[in-house]
Amino acid sequence: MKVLFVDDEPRVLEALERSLFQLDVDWNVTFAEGGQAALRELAAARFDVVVSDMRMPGMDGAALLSQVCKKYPHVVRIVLSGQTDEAEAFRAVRVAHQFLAKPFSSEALRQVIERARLLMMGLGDERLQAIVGRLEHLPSAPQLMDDLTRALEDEATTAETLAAIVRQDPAMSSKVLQLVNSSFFSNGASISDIRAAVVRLGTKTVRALATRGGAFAASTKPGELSSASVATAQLRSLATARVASRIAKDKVDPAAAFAAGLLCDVGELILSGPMSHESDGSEGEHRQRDALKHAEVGAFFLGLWGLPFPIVEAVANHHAPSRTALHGPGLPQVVWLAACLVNGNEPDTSYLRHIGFEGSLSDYRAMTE
Amino acid sequence: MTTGTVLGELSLPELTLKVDALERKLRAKEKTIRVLIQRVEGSASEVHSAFWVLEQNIALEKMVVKRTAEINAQKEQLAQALAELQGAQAKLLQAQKLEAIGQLAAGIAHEVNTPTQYVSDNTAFAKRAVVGLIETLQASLAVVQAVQEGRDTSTLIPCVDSLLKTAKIPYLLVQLPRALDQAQEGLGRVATIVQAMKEFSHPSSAEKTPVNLREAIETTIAVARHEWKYLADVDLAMDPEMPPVPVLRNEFNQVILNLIVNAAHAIGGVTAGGSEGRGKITIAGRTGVDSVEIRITDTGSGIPLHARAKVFEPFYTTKAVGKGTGQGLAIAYSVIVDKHQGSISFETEPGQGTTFIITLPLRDAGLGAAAPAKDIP
Ligand SMILES: Nc1ncnc2c1ncn2[C@@H]1O[C@H](COP(=O)(O)OP(=O)(O)OP(=O)(O)O)[C@@H](O)[C@H]1O
Ligand SMILES: [Mg+2]
Repeated sequence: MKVLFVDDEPRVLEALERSLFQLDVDWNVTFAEGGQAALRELAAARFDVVVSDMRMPGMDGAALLSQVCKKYPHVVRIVLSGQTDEAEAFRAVRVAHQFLAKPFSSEALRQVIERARLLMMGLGDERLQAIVGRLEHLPSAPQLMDDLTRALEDEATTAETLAAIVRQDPAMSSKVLQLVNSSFFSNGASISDIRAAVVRLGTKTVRALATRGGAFAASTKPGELSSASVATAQLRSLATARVASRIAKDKVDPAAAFAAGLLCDVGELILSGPMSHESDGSEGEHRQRDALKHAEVGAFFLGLWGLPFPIVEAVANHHAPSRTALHGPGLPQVVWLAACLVNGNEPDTSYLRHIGFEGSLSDYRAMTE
Repeated sequence: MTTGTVLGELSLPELTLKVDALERKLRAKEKTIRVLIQRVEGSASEVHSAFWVLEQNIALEKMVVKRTAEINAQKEQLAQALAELQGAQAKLLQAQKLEAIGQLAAGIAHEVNTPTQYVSDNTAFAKRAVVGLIETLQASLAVVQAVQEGRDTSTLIPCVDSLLKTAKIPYLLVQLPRALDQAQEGLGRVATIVQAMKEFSHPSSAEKTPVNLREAIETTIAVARHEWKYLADVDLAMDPEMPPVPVLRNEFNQVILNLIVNAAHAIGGVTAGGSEGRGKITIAGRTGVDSVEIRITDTGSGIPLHARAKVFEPFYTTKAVGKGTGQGLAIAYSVIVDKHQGSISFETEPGQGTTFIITLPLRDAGLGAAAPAKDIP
């Protein structure tokens, strides 16, 4: 794996180099003083991760990363900035996958990059990686988008009102969780509760995200998913989320189960989106394989955006929870059961009992009402 | 922020209007008196009976007394309005300063966070390095001791060897001193910015005190560093012989800050925010016979003809919301001209840049910050 670090302050790079050498990272690291130098490095070799400062003379971080997004969409883009100004931060939101605030310890940085590596290895498909890497946001359900716009027009709208809208929509929720789990927008706390995430960001930030940040959008462009299919997917996800949080009761955190349930099918939204259809000859074959991969793609997407690991893991395994290391009634199992019930699939009752779901299937079916 | 909320009942424009109206009334009244007095004087020279003259004079005098009383009342009103205006201006100055500091705060945070990043990386590095060094040292000392006591060292040597490898000693020997140097340098940078911030915002006395302008300007340049460093280089060329100049330190700093920020904005405008070349801001100071002159030159957009008459007007701005409120130069004018009896002007060439020129008297005229009431004629 090759990682490129970009900063206009050579001392920041030098100190990072020292720390990473000492920490014995087994990836290849390169350092570039500024945007132009970074582009030269990127042209000369294949990189997997770019970690860039925002404010730099000449070409700044936002300009650099948007170039990287266009030319090398498979590259994981991470901002490491000393900026505290939210207006500036919104420029980063559109071009980066994760936003880290300086000072950020090199151990923690190593973890972030290691995690990216695991995700890439887990997905193991550069074409899909590029499709996901390019995404600025997922399509929101048009109705909820209208609701959000209307709520934001009202100066008196509370964070609770916004949260009630956001938590129904996988697209908005993934964005909000992405931001709140980055050290830039909150202190890097791991937050899985969508309501708490919206409250923590606050109405002002959510408003700025919606207006200046361009963080939410309904799918309307031709070639993208039809509004109707986005809306259908949203309703199904919301149903899964609700059932998951009911099942979760006294097994796992219901708020996390809700989020994982809501997000478990984002891979489908991504794979039926426009970019995945970019033909390179064997389109039919790709699409068939993609259908099997949606859980992995969804998990890769959420992991790339820095969502809490339990959610990523649950989404990755919600079709085959027995693959996880967890053998009790954990988050993957809860989401799996919820998805089975909502989609009308028959869950394997012996596995259910094996992992410790005591209730009868009909009890759980009742939860879908 | 609107001035209305800052100033309480009356906003600055409203107050200015009130003072204008009062001054007009006062002028009208004074004219009446002049006419009356002229009449008295004039009538005395005409041929009239003494009694008539006396009668006229008494009537006139009564009128003069009455009018004078009115005038005095109005003068008092005017004085009060002026005092309010002065207070309002002081508040405005404070408000603009807070606003400027608010805008600077984000930049200062960035200026602090960057060195903090490498200070903490370097100290974490040093800490881990020292652990490795100590282990190696202890193992080596064990060998020394064994040799001294004539014991067998064959089991101890490989231990030292492996520690030498895992601790990456040769690497540490080169990098550890550098890491510590840079950590120290980074802390120095943080300390400088914090100190500059403290000096910049430290409440100075309401009296003018002799100030070394070069030091004051250096502080302001440091505080504003984030505003210019991506856009321009700053050159400070002060006459080394310049004596301390009596100024209100805080207000003076604020003026220089406003001018530097304006210069940076003007340069940002012509370099696409620093992505197309760099500009230059030059601050030069010269000493004259009884005054000093400070010139702040930028290589920015220049001021277009139609704007030249307006730039010192309060709330005149060509900048986007959040970037400017149009108070910077109005405040600079009030501070330099009203409070220091100096002057402020500019030379500008569209496409070339702008120079703002400040002069300040070397001797305090003693009127500056005093109450305005006694200045009223
Ligand atoms: N150095 C300069 N070069 C070009 N134009 C300038 C310069 N300084 C000031 N101006 C013009 O004069 C206007 C008024 O300046 P002033 O400092 O009073 O307000 P501002 O900079 O717009 O806002 P504020 O200073 O309150 O943040 C500016 O908007 C700009 O158009
Ligand atoms: Mg200004």
